[in-house]
Amino acid sequence: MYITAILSNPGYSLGALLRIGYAAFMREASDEKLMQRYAKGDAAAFDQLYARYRGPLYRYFNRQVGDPATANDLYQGVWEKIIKARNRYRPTAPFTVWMYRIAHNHLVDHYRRNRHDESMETNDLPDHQPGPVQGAMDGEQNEQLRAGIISLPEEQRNTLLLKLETGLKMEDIARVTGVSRETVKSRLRYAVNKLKRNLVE
Amino acid sequence: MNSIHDKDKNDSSIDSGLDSLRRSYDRLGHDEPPDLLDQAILNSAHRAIENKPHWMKFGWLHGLTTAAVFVLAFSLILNQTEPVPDYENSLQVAEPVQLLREKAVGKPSSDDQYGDSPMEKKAQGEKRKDLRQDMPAPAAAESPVKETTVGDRAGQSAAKARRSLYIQENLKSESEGVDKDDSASDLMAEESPRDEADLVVDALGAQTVSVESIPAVSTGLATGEMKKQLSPVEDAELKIQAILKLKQAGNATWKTELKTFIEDYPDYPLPDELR
Repeated sequence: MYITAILSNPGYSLGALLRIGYAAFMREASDEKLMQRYAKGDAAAFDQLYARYRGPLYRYFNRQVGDPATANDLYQGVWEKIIKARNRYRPTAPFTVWMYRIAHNHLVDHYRRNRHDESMETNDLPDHQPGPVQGAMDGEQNEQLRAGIISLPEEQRNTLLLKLETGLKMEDIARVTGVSRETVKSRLRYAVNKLKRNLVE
Repeated sequence: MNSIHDKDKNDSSIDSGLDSLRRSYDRLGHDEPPDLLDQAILNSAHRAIENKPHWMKFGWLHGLTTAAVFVLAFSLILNQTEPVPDYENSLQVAEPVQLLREKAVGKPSSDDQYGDSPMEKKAQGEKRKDLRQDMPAPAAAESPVKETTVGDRAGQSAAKARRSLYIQENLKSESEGVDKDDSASDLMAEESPRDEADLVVDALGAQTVSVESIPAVSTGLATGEMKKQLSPVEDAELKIQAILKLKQAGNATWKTELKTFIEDYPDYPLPDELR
C-alpha cells in the first residue's frame, strides 16, 4: 500500500518518502520492538504504542470501576508505571501480557486501598447518559450489561474484561492475573452465565 | 480421551457464550480517554527519555575523555624508568680495602671469567701453577712464629687503621691506571693478593729468628718478580712490616731501612713504633 502510494506520487520529496517509510516500519513493528525502541529513547515508538492501546486499556479501567474520574487516574497511573519501567522491560513475554499485568496489579492496589467501596451497589453506579445517537433500542440492554458487569465479583469482572477487551488467550489471562488456566475458565464461565441471566431477565 | 473431549466441549461452550456476549459488549461503544489525558501521558513519556543524566548528553565526550586518560596512564607506565643506582660511586666511598686491593691488582670480574674460553683458562691455570712454584714457600711450618702481645696488637691496629686510609686513597688512583693487559695482573687475578702478601709477611716474621735473612728477603722482595706483581702500596706495606720485624729483632739496620723507606714513600703514614 505504501509502495503504491509512493510510486503513484512522484512529487514526494526525499524527506516525505523517509517519513512514510518510517511510519510504515513503525506500523508493522511489533509491540515488543516498539517498547524496546522507546526504552532506547525513541519517543515516536511510544506514540505508536500508546495509540494502539489507549482505547482498550482505558475501557478496561472504565468498565472495571464504572467511574470515569477513577478510571482516568488508574489509566494515567498505569502509563506512568510503564514509562518508569521501560528500562526493565524484557521481551520474554508479549507486551500486552506485561502491560495488562501492570494494569491488573495497579487495579488490585486500588481495590485494596478502597476496600470499603468495593461492595458497590448497582444503585451506586454512575449515571450513564446515552447520547442521542445511541438509540433507545440498545439503550436499555446496554445499561443492563454495564450494570451486570459492575455487579460481577472482582475476579470474574477482571477476567471477563481482559477477555472481551484485550482478546488475550486464556493462558495469557492466567499469566496476567496470576492464576491457573482452569481458574480463568471457571471465572469466565460464571461471569458469562450470570450476564446472560441478567440480559434475559 | 474422554476428558480431552470434555475439555474441548467445555471450551467451546465458553467460547460460544463469549461470542454472544461480545456482540452485546461491542454495542456498549468505544470509550476513549480524554485528549488532555492523552497529551499529559505523551508529554510525560517524552520528558522521561529527554531527562537523561547530564553526562549521557555528552556520551561521546565522556568516552573520548576516558580513552584519553587510559592512553596517558598507560604511556606513563610504559615510559617510567627506574633511576639506575650509582654503584660505582657508592663502592668507591664504602669499598673495603680488600676489594680495593683486588681492583688495584686487576682481578677480573666474574663476567670476564665466564667469558674465557677453556683453552685460555687452562693456560692461566698453568701460569698460576708456575707462579706458586716461583714464590717463596712459607717458612712458618719450619720455624716458630714469634707471638705478639695484646698491647702490640692494639698499637698495630691503630697504625693499620691510619694506613688503610692511605691505602684506600692511593689504590683509588692506582685502580684507574691499571692496565688490564698486564700479564702480571692477569696472573695474579685468580689468586688473592692479600693472601700472598700475608704469606710473605708470615715468611718474614718466621725469619725474624734468623736476623741475617731479613734484609735478604726484603731485598728479594724489592728486586724480585714480586715487586713487579705488587703495587707500590703493597710494597710499602711489606717494607714497613719488614722494618718492624728488624726493629723488634734488635737489628740496627732498621733505621737506615726506615730512612730509605721515608725517601721512597714520603707520604706513607708510619706506625707508632717507627716514629
